[in-house]
Amino acid sequence: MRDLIKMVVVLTVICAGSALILSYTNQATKVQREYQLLKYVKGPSILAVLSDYDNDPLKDSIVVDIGKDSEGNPVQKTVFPARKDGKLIAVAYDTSDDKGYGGVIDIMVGLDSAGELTGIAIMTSSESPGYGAEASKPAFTDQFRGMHPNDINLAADGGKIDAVSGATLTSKAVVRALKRAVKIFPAIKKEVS
Amino acid sequence: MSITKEFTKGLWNELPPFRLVLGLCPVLAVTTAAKNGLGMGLATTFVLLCSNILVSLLRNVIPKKVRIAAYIVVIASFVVIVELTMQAYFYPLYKVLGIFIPLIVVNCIILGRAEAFASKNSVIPSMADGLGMGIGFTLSLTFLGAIREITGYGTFFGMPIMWDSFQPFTIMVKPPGAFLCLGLILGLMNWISARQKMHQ
Repeated sequence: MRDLIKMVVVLTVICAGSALILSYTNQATKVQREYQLLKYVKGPSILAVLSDYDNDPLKDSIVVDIGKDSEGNPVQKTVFPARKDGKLIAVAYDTSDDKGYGGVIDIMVGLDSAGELTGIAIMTSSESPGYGAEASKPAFTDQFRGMHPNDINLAADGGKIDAVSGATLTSKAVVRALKRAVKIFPAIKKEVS
Repeated sequence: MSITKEFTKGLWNELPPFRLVLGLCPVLAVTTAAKNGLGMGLATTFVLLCSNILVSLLRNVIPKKVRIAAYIVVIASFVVIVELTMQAYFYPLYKVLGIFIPLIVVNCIILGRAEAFASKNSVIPSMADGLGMGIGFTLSLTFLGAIREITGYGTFFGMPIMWDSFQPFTIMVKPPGAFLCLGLILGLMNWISARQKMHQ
């Protein structure tokens, strides 16, 4: 009986000690881990759509409220601001559309203070390799650089975007996602600057 | 036995992967480049050293019947600490090593040293044992990683070192290359030992 109690007590104490140390380590590294995740996962896309800034958009990221959803809960978005000499020159944030050819497409979009696109980068897409994947390449994404929001439409629908041939659904999904991003821009601009 | 002897046995006589042939899973899997081998080795060394110290300190407290469970909790805690720290400060390396960091928990060298050495010896010899074994493991992984990286990519720690017309042997950084290299190293080690014995 004494043996049994000793076993239970010793194991409990060891586990408790372990839990204590681990929760401390978890807390201590939390901020740094989130920053690393941002830097290596979203970072390349963010830096690709912004240019000519002198701050660290990843470190300066802010969470802004962009209105309410249908149930009245606030909708939030993480925005990465690009500043030069302290002045806001552009913001980057993600947008998505769930009706691509292969499901959800996540896009990082950059907009300057006038609301024009500074660039886009496709972050994740499960589009079929070949046609659909062509949408991630500069030949398609570079078209958006410096574009006025009104021109975001496929050429076939009266806009200025040449769709990826063979991947119309993907191209349309990108356009829808961008329009969605442009729509929330005024609210974001008000909050950030 | 002296402290120095406890320390140096891990460097040659009981060199973990090549003499004891223990912990081969990470040895084969992550040694595609010298840097990965070094990172994996250092992570394992940290866990080995810390768990040896703690197991040795607790050796008279832990009841025999639950010792393995207690050792595993101790080892697993240190592994999680390593994992979180790597994720926070060495993210690219953390990505490359992937599942093999959590798997340090089941690396038989660590549990082996806890069971065979630290649970029977005081703190200082256990530290020496853990550090020696860890450094031996790190050197072995780095050595194997370096050979595979040089022959498979023509680089050493990422720097190109081979002549211009060198054609990399891609097989060396693929799984068969790991087995080939390991086999050759084991053979070489045995040959050297056999010679040493003959001279004695």
